[in-house]
Amino acid sequence: MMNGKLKVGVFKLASCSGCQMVLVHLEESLLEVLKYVELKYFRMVSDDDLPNEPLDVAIVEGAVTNEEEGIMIKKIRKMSRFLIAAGACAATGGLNAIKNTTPEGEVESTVYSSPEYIRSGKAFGLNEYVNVDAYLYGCPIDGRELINTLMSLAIRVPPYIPGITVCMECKMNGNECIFLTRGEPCLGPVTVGGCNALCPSNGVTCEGCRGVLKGTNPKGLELAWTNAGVSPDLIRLKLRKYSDVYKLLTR
Amino acid sequence: MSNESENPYLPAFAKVVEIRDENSTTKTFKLRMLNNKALRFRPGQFDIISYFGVGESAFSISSSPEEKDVFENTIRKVGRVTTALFNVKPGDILGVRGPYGKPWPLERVMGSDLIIIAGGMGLAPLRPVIHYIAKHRDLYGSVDILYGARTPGDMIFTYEFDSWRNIPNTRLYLTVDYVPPNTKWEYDVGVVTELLKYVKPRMRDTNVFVCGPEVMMKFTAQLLLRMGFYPSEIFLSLERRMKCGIGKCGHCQIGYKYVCKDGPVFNLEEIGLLPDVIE
Amino acid sequence: MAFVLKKEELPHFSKHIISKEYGLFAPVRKEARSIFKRIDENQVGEVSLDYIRTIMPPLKSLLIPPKETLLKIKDGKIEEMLPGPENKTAILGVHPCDVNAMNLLERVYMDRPKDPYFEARRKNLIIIALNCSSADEKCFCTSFGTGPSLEEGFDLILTDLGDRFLVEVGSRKGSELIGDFYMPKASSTDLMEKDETIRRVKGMIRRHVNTAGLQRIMTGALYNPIWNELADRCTGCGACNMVCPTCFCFNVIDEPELDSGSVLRSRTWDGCLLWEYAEVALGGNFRKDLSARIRQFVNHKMNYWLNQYGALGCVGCGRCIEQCPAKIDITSIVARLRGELL
Repeated sequence: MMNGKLKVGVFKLASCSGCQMVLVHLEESLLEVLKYVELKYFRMVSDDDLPNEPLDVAIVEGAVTNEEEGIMIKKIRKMSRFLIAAGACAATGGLNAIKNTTPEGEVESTVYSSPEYIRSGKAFGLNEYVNVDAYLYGCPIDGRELINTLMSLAIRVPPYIPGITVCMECKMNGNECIFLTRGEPCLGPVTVGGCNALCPSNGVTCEGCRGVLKGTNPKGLELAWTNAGVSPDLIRLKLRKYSDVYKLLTR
Repeated sequence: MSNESENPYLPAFAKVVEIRDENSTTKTFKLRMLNNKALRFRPGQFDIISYFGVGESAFSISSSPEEKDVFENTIRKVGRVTTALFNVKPGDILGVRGPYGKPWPLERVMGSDLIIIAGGMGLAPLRPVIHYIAKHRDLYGSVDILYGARTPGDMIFTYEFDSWRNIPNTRLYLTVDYVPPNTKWEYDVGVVTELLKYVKPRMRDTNVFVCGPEVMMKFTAQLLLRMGFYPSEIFLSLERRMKCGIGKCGHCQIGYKYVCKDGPVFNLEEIGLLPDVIE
Repeated sequence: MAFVLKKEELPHFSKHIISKEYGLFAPVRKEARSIFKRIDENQVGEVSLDYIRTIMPPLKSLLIPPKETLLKIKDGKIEEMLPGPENKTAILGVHPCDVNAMNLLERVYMDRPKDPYFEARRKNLIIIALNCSSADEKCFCTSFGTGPSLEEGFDLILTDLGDRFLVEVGSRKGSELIGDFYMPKASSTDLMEKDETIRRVKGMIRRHVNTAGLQRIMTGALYNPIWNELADRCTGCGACNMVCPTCFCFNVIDEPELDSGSVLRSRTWDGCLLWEYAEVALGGNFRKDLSARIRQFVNHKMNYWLNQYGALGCVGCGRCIEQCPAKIDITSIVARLRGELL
């Protein structure tokens, strides 16, 4: 039934490499996964050049922030049958996209001592440039979801991530609601679950790194925050952290 | 159905004995239960097929109820489970639960004329009805089958159309929304409800079975009511998300009805006033 | 039969339950709240029965765990992951509304064909309920007759009488659980004090749902603009589905278990507030609008349950009101639809 091992490439654009590290950190599970998957390109672990045979799956981490990256992602798209945007940056631009809301160059000169060497424009998710077949959510991605995705693709079936919210997982963990008890704005109610409510279960609010779940109502959440006395400044910062909640891809 | 004491979530095993292409996105899978079991079903019931590792999906049983040792599911490739099923080869083993749900009311409408109206894949749960009538022809009056699809290439069971036309006192009318260039088509073009112009129903002595996309069923039901049919004479088979088939998982509810156990075949009278019936 | 248990004896009683080979679940303090957790012998001192409402419904969580493996499939064989009779469980300190919610879940899961996972867990379960000795402004159990006291459906039931608990026996299983654990018999004063407590708590409950003719009113309001108005405020988070003790819906997923080379088929809690819940093939969805999903949630509790299972699907625990980030209140929705509130 399987047509041999799944040929996979792992690519990185503008990002911190944290999502690739999740793959590396699968450790023993990775060995199991490699029974079904052949890594044809993975710069983090090998110096091999870009493969010249077509790939079954490209796992792409990072946002597109300049022309070279734009060319790169089109090249990757062309050589891959199935393209996965892995992590917040690839999905929506991620933290990189915070700078989209400030004048060009401002963020660079705050961060770098010699910003003239930085070639970086607005940051976008991959779907601004190419068709994306599937998303892995989070900053970084979730190892379990990565495994399930690869195992599903290995039998030539599109992957599935259940459409529940972080808020639901937080409840299942029996946590007291941080927003309702401490008045701190939490994005759990509108954010794609699957992380097992990692942040709120450890006492900090959800930052929305997994993106907005289709069918949820961020405007309603914003209203709830306003009614609870959260300052407009804080609301703005919170909503734009992962590249502006209202512009976010929703699944 | 299975024994009371058995785990209703436990699939039985069935072997794929034959796979037929219906069209470019639809295949019919002929299955045989293992361990000398048989799936005894009535026309309109559904089963739940497991592809282990991917999941389960509910499908109308599309074969003749007269065939005792094999049964068929006609499946369109639309999601994960169906994608996995399209990779299956004859000889492979699948999981099967069921049959579930209320069948078409073939006893209740005995002796009356029947109009069968199907759109696209909606012919799948009606094919067992047609086979049943062919076998028990004297139990029913005149039968009109009205079938519409998007294009000629989207039709299913086309290889049986001639034999359906040969059933005594039975007529088959076909229509498509659109005929692509260089496609041979000698029947109607237009929506399936337009085929009702060919039918002169004997009012109060005719029942209608309808299955197809919800919007097609909505327009069909509205037209039938305008023609003078009572809601109690119109039966529809509905599709909903289902995770269990036995009224536990909750997904298929429409108002207080469960499509899995109160349906999938409903009388229009039962569901006419419920919310969320039509998308 | 009724006995008296001094409060300082509660840890001993908890130990006694554990000694009868029950896994004991009981409420303990966690920050400002109480949560039910599995208690071992060394933790019996932590059990604290003075709470009003836990965040999660304890009996639903025990009987239909948030994620439960149903089947394990390997090499063409299917193993049923049914809990065995050795998994005896005792739950101590559940309030009447939660016990009544479990009785409602029984109507769903024990309806034919029975759910064998629920049935096995229910058979393994012994219930030591706790009549309420307090209530807050979110409680409205009296509207449904589901609290603050319980007349049946328990094995033992406690009532807080200040320095002691009244312990009443509701079943043979409960009587056997007490066994050789010595408690003095209750006096008529103890029983009168119990009645006084219940009367006092009833007086504390200020929130109400008028259930008279409710089904007709809800059905008549299916196309009321209130659902659209609520959809502007609702975040669509599904927290209400999670914390509701009668919400029973689940999703089923297959996942590979790499180490064992098997596939696990599990069910996980699901909720009608979610987009995916009513989605069908090719992206079709019968409850596309959030307004339709809110309407489904409220009508299921306050309308459809009656047709489906012969009782309304709400027990008035107040959890959905307490946990809603948008402060949507099912009791005020009903009141507005009844014209009792503007």
